Amino acid sequence: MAGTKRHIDQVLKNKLGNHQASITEADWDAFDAFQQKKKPSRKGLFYLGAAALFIALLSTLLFLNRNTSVDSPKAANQPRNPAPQTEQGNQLATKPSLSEKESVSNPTEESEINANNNEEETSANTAQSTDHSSPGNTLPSADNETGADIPSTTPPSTQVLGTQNIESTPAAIERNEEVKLSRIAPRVLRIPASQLGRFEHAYIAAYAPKEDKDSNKNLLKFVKKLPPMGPCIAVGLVYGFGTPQLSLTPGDPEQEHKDYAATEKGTSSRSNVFRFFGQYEYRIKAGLEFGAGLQFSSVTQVRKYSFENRNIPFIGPDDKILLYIRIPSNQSVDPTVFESRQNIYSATVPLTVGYAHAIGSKLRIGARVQGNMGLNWSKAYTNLNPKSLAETPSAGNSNPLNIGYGGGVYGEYFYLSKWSLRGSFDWTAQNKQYKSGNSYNLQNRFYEIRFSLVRYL
Amino acid sequence: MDGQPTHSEALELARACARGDRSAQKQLFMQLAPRMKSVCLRYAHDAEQAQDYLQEGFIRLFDKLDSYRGDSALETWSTRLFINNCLSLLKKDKKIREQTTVLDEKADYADEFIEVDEDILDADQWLDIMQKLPVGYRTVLNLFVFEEKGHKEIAEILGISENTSKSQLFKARRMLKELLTPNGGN
Repeated sequence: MAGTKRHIDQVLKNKLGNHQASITEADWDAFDAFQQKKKPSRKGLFYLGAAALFIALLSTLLFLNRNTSVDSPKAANQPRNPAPQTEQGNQLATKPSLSEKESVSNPTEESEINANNNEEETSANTAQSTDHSSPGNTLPSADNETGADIPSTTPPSTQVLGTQNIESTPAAIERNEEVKLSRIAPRVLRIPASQLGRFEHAYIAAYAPKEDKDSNKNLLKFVKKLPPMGPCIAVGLVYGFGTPQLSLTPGDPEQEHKDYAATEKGTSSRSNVFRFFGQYEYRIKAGLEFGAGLQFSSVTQVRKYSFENRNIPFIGPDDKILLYIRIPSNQSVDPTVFESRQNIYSATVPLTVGYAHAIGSKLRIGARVQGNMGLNWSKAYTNLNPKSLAETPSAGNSNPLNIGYGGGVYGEYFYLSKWSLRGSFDWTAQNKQYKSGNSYNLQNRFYEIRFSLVRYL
Repeated sequence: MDGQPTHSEALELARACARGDRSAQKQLFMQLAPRMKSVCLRYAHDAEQAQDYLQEGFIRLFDKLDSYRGDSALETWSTRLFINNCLSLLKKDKKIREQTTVLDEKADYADEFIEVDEDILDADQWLDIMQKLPVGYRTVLNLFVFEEKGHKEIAEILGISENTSKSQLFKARRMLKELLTPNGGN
């Protein structure tokens, strides 16, 4: 009456090891409905998250910038070509920024102001002008700088625009109170000439009337024509070169040819990357800068292999290597030669942190580190089958998530008041490009040359 | 072996599914679901949970099919993925750890030889009985018997100690035996 007695584990395995449950069309319909409800949200969420992060960062920086600049709305909102004015203080208030290389040769000569607005000529150069036509613009000499000679509001001697990190009001400065510095945004400010000595490290541009050359000398020692702090937008191109770092995942001996590791070296390889990017950056005092943007990359990796496969694997019905058939060394074997090629396209959101230092009035050097995250798209590549050592298509095995990091140095040349060209040299790395093992896994290591066109806002 | 797709057919079908071809997805579902559902029924505590595991598993399968390169049979590859999916869903419930950390760490759980009549139950009845086991017992039993994992591996997979894994298996076999005796299940 009783059947064969076996160990309970064996019975379970016999009964359920290859068991197949019943499935009907209704199961598919239920799954299909479930899939339609669930699947689209995954990629959408990723894009939404990346976009939200970028927008949030951009908005925060813009908001902070606007918020801290609100103290000088008149200066910001006034037309750049105002009607000629005779009162020097008012004219000064229309100057938007100091580090723009704007120069004003004479506040009463509107045409000259316009002509100089975006020229290379610096305020320092203009200050050397020798036109003394307007006595009302005379600056006090250093010997004659006393608070008693200067009116408390919009004094004629207030002939300097402080545009960098000064938060104190002109009145507070005039009262000799401690100067408060802004943490983020520049602002336009009139500084009494008598107080200039307190701002050695502030970026100050002189309003330089032509008529008093001697007085200008007193101001010029404070003039630092450094690039503006605050936001800028950079767009650019990148070319990178390097060799992918290969890592061979130790595999199952039944799933991996015993000579697989020997093919790792290959015969030659080359890789390159092209990128296009746009980035929003914000610079705060102390030279620190932060950036976020969007970057599209195209990575090509080519690796050639040539080897003799003398151990032919015999693969069993369960798709595992059972044994090897050895081709004797006295028999010739055609070498296996092929080229492994990968093309990976990616869209990433880079985040950068850097530090920059000005050298003179037109140059800036800096260093920065970056991290980025985004998506990969792979296209038409081949690889080596770890079991048969034959060329095999492996499209689709690319890791969809692109995580990279790197850093480098750069130099920036300001050829116009708000425009600059930046060249940088970076080293970058990226996460493994294949999702899983049993194959060579590629990790990009590139040296990159990056050119950017930068517009300061 | 009749009706089984060839290697190249399986690869082609997998690629079509990865591209989002719904008719291919349906074909693959109908082809794999019987086996995968059986796997899910082994890990789940009832049919409803198994259905959830099955659906989640196929979502994950279609998402990962672009990484299938045909190195192993599609069914084998899919089974591994479903098992991992079941384990990951079970871990989310945190029930495994709760139900597997109460036993004596120092006890010696020798490999008890429990014999049963092979024909006493059919496959569906065995599944019913397995589902009556606590989740910790059931999971360890599955990994040991069907996935042929050692206790060390099971301990690593489930985040438990090796001795706990042994004890779970010991208790699982005993409980199965009890459930097989008349009125044992009640």
